[in-house]
Amino acid sequence: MRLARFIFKRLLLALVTLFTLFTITFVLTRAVPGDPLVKTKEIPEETRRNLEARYGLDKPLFEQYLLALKNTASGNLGESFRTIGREVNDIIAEQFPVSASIGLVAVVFGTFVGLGLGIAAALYRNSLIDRAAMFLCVAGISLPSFLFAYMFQYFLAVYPLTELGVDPQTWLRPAGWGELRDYILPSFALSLGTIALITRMMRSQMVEVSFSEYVKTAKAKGVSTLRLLFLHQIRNAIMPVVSILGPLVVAVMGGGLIIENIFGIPGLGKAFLNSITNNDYSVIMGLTIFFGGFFIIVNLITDVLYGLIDPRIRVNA
Amino acid sequence: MSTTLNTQAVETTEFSKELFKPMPAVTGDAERLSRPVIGYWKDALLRLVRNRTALFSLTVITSIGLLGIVGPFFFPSMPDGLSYENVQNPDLINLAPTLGDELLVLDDATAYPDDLVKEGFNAEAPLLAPEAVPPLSGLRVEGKATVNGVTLVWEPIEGVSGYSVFRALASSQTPDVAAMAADPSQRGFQVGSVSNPAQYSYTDSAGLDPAERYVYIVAPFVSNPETLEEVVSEKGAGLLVEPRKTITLSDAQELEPQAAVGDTVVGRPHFFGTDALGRDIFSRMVSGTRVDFFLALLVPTIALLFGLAYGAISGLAGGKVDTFLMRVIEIIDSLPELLLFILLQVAMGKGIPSLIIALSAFAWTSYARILRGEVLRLREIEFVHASRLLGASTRSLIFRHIAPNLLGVILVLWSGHIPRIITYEAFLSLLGLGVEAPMATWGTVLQEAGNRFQIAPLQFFMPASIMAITLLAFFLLGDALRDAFDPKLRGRE
Repeated sequence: MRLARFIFKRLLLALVTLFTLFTITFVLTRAVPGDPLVKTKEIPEETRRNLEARYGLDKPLFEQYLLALKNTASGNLGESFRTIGREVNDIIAEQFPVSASIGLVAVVFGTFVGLGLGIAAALYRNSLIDRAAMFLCVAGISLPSFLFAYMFQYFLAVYPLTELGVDPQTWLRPAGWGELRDYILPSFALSLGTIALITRMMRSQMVEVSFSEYVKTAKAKGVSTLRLLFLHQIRNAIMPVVSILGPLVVAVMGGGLIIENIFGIPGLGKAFLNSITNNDYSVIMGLTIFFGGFFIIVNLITDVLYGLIDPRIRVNA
Repeated sequence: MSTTLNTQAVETTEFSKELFKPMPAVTGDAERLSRPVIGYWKDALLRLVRNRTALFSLTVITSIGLLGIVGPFFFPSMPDGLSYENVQNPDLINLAPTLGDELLVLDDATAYPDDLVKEGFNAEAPLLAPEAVPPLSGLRVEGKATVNGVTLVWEPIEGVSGYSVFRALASSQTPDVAAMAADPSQRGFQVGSVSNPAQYSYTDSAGLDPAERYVYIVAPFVSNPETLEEVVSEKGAGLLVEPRKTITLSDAQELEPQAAVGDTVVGRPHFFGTDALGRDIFSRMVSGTRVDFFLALLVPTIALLFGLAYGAISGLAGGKVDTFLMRVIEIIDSLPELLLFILLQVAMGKGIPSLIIALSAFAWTSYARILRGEVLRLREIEFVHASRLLGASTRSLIFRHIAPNLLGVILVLWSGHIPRIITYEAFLSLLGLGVEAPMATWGTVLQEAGNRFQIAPLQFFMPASIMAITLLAFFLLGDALRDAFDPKLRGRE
């Protein structure tokens, strides 16, 4: 019963947040000074009236709000002001899978490397591996992913191709999309932050767990080292790590907005940038709501998952 | 258990008054504080000073900050971030980092000669067989060889169809130009061709690098009238050319008033090179430091003040108001921060004021949440109760006990916020938001350099390293501050 209550509360909060996000987005895009329909050319009065009718801009603001709310709630995010007939839903359907796949690869890769590094650093405290891991953590947490992206792009792709004369067919491409190898650089650049955060967290958790009573008891009982490590230490240390996976996905996908532009990847980041440079407010709004909704749902899932595996959270919530 | 035993003991034992004697008064130093008193702030300062990483980070941050304050006076750049040297001068575009190049002073109106055509040349002479073409002679550079153009002239030959011009990088100190001219595989790539046999000049101006030496090879060619196939003679001539960087006379006279055409002057240093518009990247970084540090100090302060007020009201009001205010924070916290920055910037347009609003609009929540918790915790903490019991006034409670403890938390939160503002500013600039065009920030410098960084990676990496070093320094300092102000946290992590 407690679990159901916990999930219900989280769900309610997510709904309120989504609604708030929608309202803020609507108000902000309507508050933009200037005319959303103005392009470089002057448009005739007749055309303007038709366009305004098409986008519902001729109605009172509150009516527009209700209409947009209704449309958004039913999953229709509207139509581009710039490219007539281009639906935001289509943009998302075409370009979101690209962004999501890079983000997924980055988070999964980063999580596994981070867990491994964190465990190794905790087991061999103050060793070389621990120091190296801590240095990586500081760099990974404090530096933004786009710096890594530019660095990797140059040293791992541009430099070998132009200066070392590596065959472009067999090596990483500095930009491009469509082949499996194109995942490597962007995902790697995006995953460093994840690696750093998870390593740091896993290490501190492992150290804390190693001082706990139940580990001492298990040692006293004569449990084998491997069994102790996997069933007693890692199992308990790993739990709080789950709780940061949601915010991590959000951070990684956010960084992806820039990374996609660096590597020329046709994902949502590219669409976002285009809509910003073209002042295409309806697309900006649609993408923000979609992205925001996606993030809120990811956070909801992590919260619920964490509540499921760690009963203590449900009690405190 | 033990209490009941004691009560029984008290009830059953008889104590006579003689058993009790007054204790002798305490004399000597038992109560004296024999060690110097170290207060909260002194303790924190001592910990900070003992931390070598923290001191180093502080030095780095201070130097970069100072550079931002005084730098613009030493590295003059026009208010719009343009260096004065950039006066429509192609010599100054996309320079590699330099401490000051030697520049050849040219007349302001340097023009390259039009194609030169020999008078009285017999263009109707019958075409020679390719083997019979005589060797080309008289190849030399007309005027000055500069990075903007190298004009070659030679003696035209009667009976050929035209001349092909090749360019190769000089491989050694003294390349064998004659051998290179004779060997088609060593000629380099063809930069152009002259299809009028009477014309005896060619100007090459494509992508010349002052750091390189070039071998130009001009070889006559004969085209077969039927197949139109061009046969390039192997008896071309070669010439070693070192193009120089140039500066116009008026610009040179700003550097050295006595400069005259043909002199060599030392140009301004460009520590980070110049960008695609000829602007000095270092100057732009320096003036960007002002903007970045201004934002990075102001935004956390605004967020702190608002968060402190919000948190204090929430914590002190309690009850329904507190619950409501905290719910609002919960909702704002679960909104995706980056998207809201983008949206606010789009809505308000580019510029510093909207950047400040966008970055602080949602950043105050963590201050409010944490400070509310601290206020609640400190209000009920034992030493505050003890102090109140001893008769301390509210004023002294706030200033001696609550405020210092809050200040530590505030300083840690505030310093941790600074590097994030620098990162967010760069993020927004990379998305084409941020500040208005002529103004420079670290983010805009990176964004402009990023566009062409595969060609000129140094333009990007130099500013990027400055940013990376600053972010690392702020991060390490923030860590050290947290350690210094919260000894309980030491050794965790």
